[in-house]
Amino acid sequence: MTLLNYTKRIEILCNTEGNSDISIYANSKNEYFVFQENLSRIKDEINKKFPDIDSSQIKIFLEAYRDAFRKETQWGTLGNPITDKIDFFNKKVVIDKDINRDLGEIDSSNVRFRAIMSYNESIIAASEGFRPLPIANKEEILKVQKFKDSQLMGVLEIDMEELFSCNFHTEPPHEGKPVIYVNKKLGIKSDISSDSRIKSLIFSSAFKELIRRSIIDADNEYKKRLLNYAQTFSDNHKWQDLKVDKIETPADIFENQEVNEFIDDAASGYISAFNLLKKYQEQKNETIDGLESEVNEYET
Amino acid sequence: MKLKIRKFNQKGNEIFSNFVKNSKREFTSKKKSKFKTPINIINDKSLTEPINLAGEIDVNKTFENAFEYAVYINDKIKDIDLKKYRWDDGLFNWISAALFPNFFPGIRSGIDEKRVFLSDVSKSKWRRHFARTLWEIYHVYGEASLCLLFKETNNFSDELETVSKSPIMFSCKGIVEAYSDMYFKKEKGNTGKQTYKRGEVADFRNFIDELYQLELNLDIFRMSKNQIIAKLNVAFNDRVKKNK
Repeated sequence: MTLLNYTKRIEILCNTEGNSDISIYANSKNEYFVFQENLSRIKDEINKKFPDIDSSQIKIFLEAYRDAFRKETQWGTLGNPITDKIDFFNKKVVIDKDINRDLGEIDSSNVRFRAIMSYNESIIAASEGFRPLPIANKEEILKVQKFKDSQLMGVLEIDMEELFSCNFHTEPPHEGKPVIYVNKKLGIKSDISSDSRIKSLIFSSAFKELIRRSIIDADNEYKKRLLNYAQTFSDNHKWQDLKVDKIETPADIFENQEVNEFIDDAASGYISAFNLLKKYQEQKNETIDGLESEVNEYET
Repeated sequence: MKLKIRKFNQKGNEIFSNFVKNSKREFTSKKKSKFKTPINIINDKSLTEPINLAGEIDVNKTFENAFEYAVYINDKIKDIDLKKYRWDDGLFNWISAALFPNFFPGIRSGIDEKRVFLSDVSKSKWRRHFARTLWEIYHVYGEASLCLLFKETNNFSDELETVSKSPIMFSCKGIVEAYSDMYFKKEKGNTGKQTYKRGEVADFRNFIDELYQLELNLDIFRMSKNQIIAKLNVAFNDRVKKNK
């Protein structure tokens, strides 16, 4: 019998080479770890296909199974997913303490997982069955899991007369954190989620500017984190060795060759690490394809 | 004869595998049709290891049906560390050997080695192993498993084969309970009978076809039997009423 799929169900990519939506690791103690900080693609697709469903109503379930045994755990909602995280700066895995990681009677070397996002009785998104990535201990995840841009800079909507700007936040609870402020009335935050070109332009520009400001006065831990990250792209310079004591005004920084090299290396490294050029091009091609198909519709 | 449950070590698994192959040859050549428990293998300390808190089993015991077997063996291993032994081929091969006449030859695909021997290299076939799968179904579903276990210990029925083939169906309580409401009637004791014939409207195979469709759209695993039945067409709902 042919199976007819009338559903608009979205495929969740898990533990795939490249850009996984969800990554799951398991160790020989039968504990598992889940990283779902990369759900923007799923959110975009759900917004397009199910615009009337509030993402906070979409539950995320991870099911560990083998034969008749199945253990399910809810990992939050699409609006507020529960996730383990990597603190790249302190080089440690930060796990959510409210989740029981025990796989129970399933052996981690034989278990398969499935990710489901459901709304009421309906499946909105689902993965195929997949195996967890084997690790000896959770610290090993540090070598594999990639840095996410959301861990570097926050995005905050405010009422403003510009399209966007960036700075280090001055109010608690995020005091001192690098933030990209975006125009609330224009809904730019949502545009960033749905259009890789807008995201690429804003994030690359903000990153460069925040690095520049951090070099001038590295007076808080967030600035130092940004600079440490930037330094990973520099072959020649360590940010602490840069001679910034002669810089009296922000404009002076443009006269300093070493500083400029450091910032340029950081900016191009950041763009490369997050594939911003590729994402820009892909989004552009998608838009062109869309326009062409619209034109064709009129022609026929 | 009663023996405390043990597990085969690697060598024990190899010897039992050879025993199964030999039994298969004897059956095929019509040299033998009935087989005995290989006491010399299961009782050999060099081929086996003890299991902490395991109970004793009667190796001469025969069972009225798979359910009776599953209840019996579940009681004997209920105190062992299942985190360690649930997927242990040595344990379930030992049980398969200890109660060998109950499982071999089988009624369907009678002498298939997978029915009695768990191979470490073909784990995807483990669901077809009598000793382990019959126990696992009872371990997961308890009393509700009677609808899948009312047949003989050596009969891996069409229903069991079909349900166990799909990970979702095999592990979904709502589906097992819905199946029971539509196609099974419990009789006295722990026995029962199938209440459909193949080819009838809304028979078991139609049910599975419908489930494969529903599974694409619906989160079946988290649905109750009533929610599942309500999604099926009216012929299935009629069957539930008729089966009461």
